[in-house]
Amino acid sequence: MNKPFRPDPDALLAELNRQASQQGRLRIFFGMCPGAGKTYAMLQAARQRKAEGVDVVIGLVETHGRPETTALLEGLEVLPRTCINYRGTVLKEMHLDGLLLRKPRLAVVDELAHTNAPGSRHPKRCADVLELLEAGIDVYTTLNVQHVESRAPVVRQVTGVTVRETVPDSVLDRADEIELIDISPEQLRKRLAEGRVYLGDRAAAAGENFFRESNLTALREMALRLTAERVDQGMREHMREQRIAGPWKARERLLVGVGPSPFAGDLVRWTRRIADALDATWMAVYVDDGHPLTEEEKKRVTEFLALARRLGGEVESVSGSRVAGELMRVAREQNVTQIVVGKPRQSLWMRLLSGGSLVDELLHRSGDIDVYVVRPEKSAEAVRTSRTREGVHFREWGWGLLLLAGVTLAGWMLCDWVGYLSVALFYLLMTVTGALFLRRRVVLVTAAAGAFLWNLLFVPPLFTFRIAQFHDAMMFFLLIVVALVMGHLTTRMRQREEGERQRQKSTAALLKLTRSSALNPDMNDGLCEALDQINALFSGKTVLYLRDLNTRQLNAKPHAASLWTPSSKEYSVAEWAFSNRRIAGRFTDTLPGAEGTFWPLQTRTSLMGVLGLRLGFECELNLPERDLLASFATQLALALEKDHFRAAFQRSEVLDASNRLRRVLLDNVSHELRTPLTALKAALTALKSIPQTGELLEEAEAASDRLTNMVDLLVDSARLETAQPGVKKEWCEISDLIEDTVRLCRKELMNRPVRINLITPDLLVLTDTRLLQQALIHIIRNAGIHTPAGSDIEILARINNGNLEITVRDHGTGFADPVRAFEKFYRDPHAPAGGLGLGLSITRGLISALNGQVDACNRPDKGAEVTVSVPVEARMPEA
Amino acid sequence: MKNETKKNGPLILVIDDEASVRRMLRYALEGHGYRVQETATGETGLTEAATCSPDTIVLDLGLPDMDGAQVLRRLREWSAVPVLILSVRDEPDDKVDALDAGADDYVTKPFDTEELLARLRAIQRRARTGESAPVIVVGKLEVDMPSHAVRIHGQELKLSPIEFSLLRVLAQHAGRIVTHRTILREVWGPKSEEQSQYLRVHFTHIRRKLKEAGLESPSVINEPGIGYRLAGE
Repeated sequence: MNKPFRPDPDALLAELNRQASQQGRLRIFFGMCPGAGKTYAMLQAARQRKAEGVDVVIGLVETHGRPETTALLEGLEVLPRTCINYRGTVLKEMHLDGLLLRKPRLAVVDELAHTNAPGSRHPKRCADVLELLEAGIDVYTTLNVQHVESRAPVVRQVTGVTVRETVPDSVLDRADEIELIDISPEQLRKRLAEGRVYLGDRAAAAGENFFRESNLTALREMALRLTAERVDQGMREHMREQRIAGPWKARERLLVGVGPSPFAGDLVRWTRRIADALDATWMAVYVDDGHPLTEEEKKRVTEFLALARRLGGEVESVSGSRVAGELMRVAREQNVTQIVVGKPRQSLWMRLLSGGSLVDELLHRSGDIDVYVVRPEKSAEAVRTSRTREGVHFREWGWGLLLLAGVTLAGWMLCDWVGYLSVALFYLLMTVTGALFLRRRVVLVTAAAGAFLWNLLFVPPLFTFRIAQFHDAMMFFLLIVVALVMGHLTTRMRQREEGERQRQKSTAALLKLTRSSALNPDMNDGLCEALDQINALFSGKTVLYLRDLNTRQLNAKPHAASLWTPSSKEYSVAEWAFSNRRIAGRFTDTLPGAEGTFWPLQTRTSLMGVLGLRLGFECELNLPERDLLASFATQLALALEKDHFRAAFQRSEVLDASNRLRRVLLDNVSHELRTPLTALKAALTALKSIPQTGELLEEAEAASDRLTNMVDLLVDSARLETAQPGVKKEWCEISDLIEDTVRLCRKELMNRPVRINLITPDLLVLTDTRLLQQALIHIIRNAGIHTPAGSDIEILARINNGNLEITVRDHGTGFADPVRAFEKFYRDPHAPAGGLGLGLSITRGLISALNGQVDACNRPDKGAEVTVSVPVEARMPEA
Repeated sequence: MKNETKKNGPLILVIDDEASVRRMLRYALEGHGYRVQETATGETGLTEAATCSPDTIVLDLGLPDMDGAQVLRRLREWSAVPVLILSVRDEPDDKVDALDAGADDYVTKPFDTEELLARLRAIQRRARTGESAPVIVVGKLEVDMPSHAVRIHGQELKLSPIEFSLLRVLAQHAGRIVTHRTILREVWGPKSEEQSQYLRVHFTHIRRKLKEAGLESPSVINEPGIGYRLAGE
């Protein structure tokens, strides 16, 4: 390694995020086949955790009647299963909601690959497990190698058994620990024979079929190898995290081209296996080359891309006429190092006609990118191709025949006038015209038939396929070639045009939707228009649920623009989509039994609601349609968010303006009140220098001080109402804070001894000392004013639960009403004359700016007590 | 110039729009040996400041034609004359803004005449002595710059380097408020925001050490939300 080592920052960040997000940890007990002892090992591990004091709950365990396993369950909390009634049969499944509600630290869930009963929230148990992990619950689970999606074709090849219950490899990637439960085939067969795996007759049958020694050895090797790959990956990840430099390969990245061919599924799985072995990332790309697909093919492409996503690959769908060119473009953009494509099955002359196969072109353009050409496996799926060919379209063949007959008839009638060579041009015209509305196969066949008919009926010697003259033969071949090429080109042009029209339709719809939702001044009208757009485009019915702005929950009442009123069951699907921020309902992996499909309306920053769409029973959603609907959902979310922000902005603007106005008013009032006081006070001071003005002057001075004081209080009180004071925190010793405050109240505390009682006087607290001090001043002044001279005042301070609590106690008569003491302009009936009753209300305003609270009470032994409690950071000073 | 009672006293320019306040200021200041020049608007105030070269300016913030802070900024473009702000605005932000814009001190209305006179004396002393004297003497406190020492009654006081720097800054501006920002800039240099939370603790320690050394005056006074002042000679 000659370059300095640099860990991939994105990878590190992702790892950190995962660690920080408090997700549960997944531990998989992995084995080669049933009977290896996975459940047993898992339960033992769970018991050990339980003994360590961890909260363990058994979500579901299949004991298959094995006594050793059943014994292990003893003493563990087992969650009752939920019953699902499916067509008269009661199926027992894991109670997912019960488990989420119970929220243990660790849940034990057997058989990860299990398929849930129809009507469950998720079709697969592994999705249940993911939801548990998402909720922060650790999960122990078991899995056999034949259930791993990417290994399924190999298992089928080796054992001849098609595995239906598979677990996506992405779930395995998610696992924090994979523990291999290994057992030798001989021992397993012995166990089987002893009836410790299956009971009764099933044991014998299983021993002959699946549990053949050769099968077991192959499965064991697969399990060992898969685990070894994981260990290897884990080690590399560890080295990356710990920044240990090692023999790093340049990061490999694979790209697999996916088409409508039924082999593409195997191709995707193959890529996943290779990517695993190379520790590489990978992606699947579908190129829409404008070639129209049958319904069957469309469904297949959607299925394969979904498979790629399940297997942990990225998925991209692009469009362009040259498949190879588009693949290369994506590969270059995404820094792909290897491209995987299927081996073509085109015949030689088709390849020549279309200008070389995809593989030839890829090889030609690939440059430094490796290209793998993978041979499709001969498997059960190969048979399916013949069945899935397009059906026969009688109407189009009829049209072809009609054209042929018409042209032949016209040629026959006109032949004598125009000469038989011109008739060839009629046939050519027929081919081109037919290409405008017939499918390619029909066009090509009619073109060929036309050429032969011309030969048969018009070229001398008549009624034979023999051609006497050289120029006629040349004309015949030219006619065939030109007709074929023209037919081919015209149909291709037409197809591309159709594809273009389709794309344009969706683009136009998106544009219209964006416009109606973004530009309509009234949000509700805009939403109505937008939903109408979706309804028209998909010929379905939509529902829109919005977020309640106050509770941040989903509103149970659909928005007025909705055309569909879903049942409460459908609403719960919408709610799931909302709270999990994922698409749910029909055509998805979550609650697929629902009538509608629900998209969360989310932007990068917020979640605005849910869009639901109900289609007719026979309808399907293909990939571009899904993408389009997802874009619709995003557009709607953006429009809603914008509207929300606009409303909030307007509110804050109004608030801002009124605050500004109040502030100006307040400044003016305070200026007008204080200016004459200034003159008055200065004049009184000046008068003092003149001798013998005496008592009258002192009286006037005291009155002016009192007036000043009242104006200060009024202005402070009004200012607190206008705006929260800005908080600026600083560290301060408790004793310093209190002594400083007491010093400022010297005048009111005259002749009243103050006892300051601090448990930790030099403790430092972080708070806004100015606001806190102002608040305390009012309390301490009150204590001085309302108590007789000579009675002492006590100030206590301590830290309690992260709050600084300061208590001021006096020995006066106490409050007449401690609750009303904080009311504005409330004055105690026994209070001495003067004062406005604003001090404590200002105190409360200031303390609430510090997120604290202030309480007043009367002590049993006479006297008032006011306690201020403010959250603070506190620490001891450094020695 | 009218009403020149004493020919040699320092000239004070009062810029305030309230006639009654101007009258009282003139009365109080002339009684203490100052000469007073008064004006009611910012524009005329700036012109007067340029033409009659006052020793000190007393400036109101709420002027009819322009804000007092603006007058201050324009004045500071060409003059270093000491300025004392006299305003009804009592919020810390207003005070800090004015002080940072170049005012030397801030007194709120209604004011105490004695206090106003004391502040005026303090800012004029600075104008006379400047800030670069090697030894600053404030009452019984002696701050010796070259030897980094603080003496009380000739007795050396033990201070940490930071405490010395903080006390030095206050002593250089003795009698006047020094804003938090100024203190931070002078002691820690720019980018010293995080230190602002510790200022109060440092000053508590300084205050305690001064007190233990038997010094009652001058003392470090905390002006909450604005800054600190070394006062009371």
